[in-house]
Amino acid sequence: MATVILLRACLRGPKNLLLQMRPLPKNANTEILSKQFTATPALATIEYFRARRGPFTPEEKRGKGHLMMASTHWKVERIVAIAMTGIMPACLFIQGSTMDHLLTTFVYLHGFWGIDGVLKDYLVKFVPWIGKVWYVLAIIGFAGLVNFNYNDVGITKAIQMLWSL
Amino acid sequence: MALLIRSFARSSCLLKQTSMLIPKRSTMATTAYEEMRNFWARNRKLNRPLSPFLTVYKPHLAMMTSLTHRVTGVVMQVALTGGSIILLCLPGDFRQNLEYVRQLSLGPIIIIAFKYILAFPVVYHFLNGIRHLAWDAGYGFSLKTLYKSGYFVMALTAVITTYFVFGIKCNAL
Repeated sequence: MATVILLRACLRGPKNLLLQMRPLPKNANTEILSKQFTATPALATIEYFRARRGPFTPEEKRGKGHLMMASTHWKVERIVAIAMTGIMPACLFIQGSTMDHLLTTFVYLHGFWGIDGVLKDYLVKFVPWIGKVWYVLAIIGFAGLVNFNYNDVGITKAIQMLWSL
Repeated sequence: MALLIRSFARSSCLLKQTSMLIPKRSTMATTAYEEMRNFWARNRKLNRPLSPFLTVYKPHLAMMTSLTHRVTGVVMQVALTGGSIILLCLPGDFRQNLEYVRQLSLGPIIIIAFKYILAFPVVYHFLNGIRHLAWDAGYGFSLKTLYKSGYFVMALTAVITTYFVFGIKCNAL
């Protein structure tokens, strides 16, 4: 019975067979290498800034040194955003150094992830190191804000003073 | 039995079929990643023009609100980081610098415009952010709801920003 079915399938021709292993066509050029640098220096810079649209291996997509899954990170981002929907109206009524620290931490974190996302959307495919530059800049900015909260008036007081102009 | 011998004679696909019954390593010379890379290299060599993407769109509400949301967010964060770094570099503390600005005696229209520029991104991004969080929770995707919430956010932003600029008065502390 099985032999008959098998033979019937064979007689219909190779196109109807389930498993099709097509060998590589003869004219496929497997030696093409995407050259990163060309002979002249001017063309070399253009090549450096060309967008990498893929392919991205799973290792590249996972990134180096992450301890958290991307979906968990997304959840943390949403938690910070929801916390901010409470903090922002509250800072209109409550001021002081606690509110300063709360505001600085949450707003800055949220903004850092936001800019990170924008950079990843538009710039990282051209300039892969721009994410690191933003990381360093953000750390300096955060240090400045923390210093402002400690040694200077603090962000809530500063906004009040600004509004008194 | 006779069927078997006849099919042998007629076609060679039986032999092909038996070769498939034995599990064999792939005879492909390239991996998927190499093939994708070759695809891009070949297309880059052909220098094909890029099809229009931004210029062909007629602006609609969802696009404009999303764009404004992103732009206000980026502008605010850049201003916050930049302001923080500038404050680190300025001589004197915040009070002294504010006194310097006060002594410039800028006209009230400039102060009002300045307050609008400060307040609008915060309020708009906050209200549109709530809209975004609603989408993340799964609500409000139908086009009618989207448009209603979009117009509502724009109207509420105008009202609240005007209240912040004209309604909140702080004493010179």
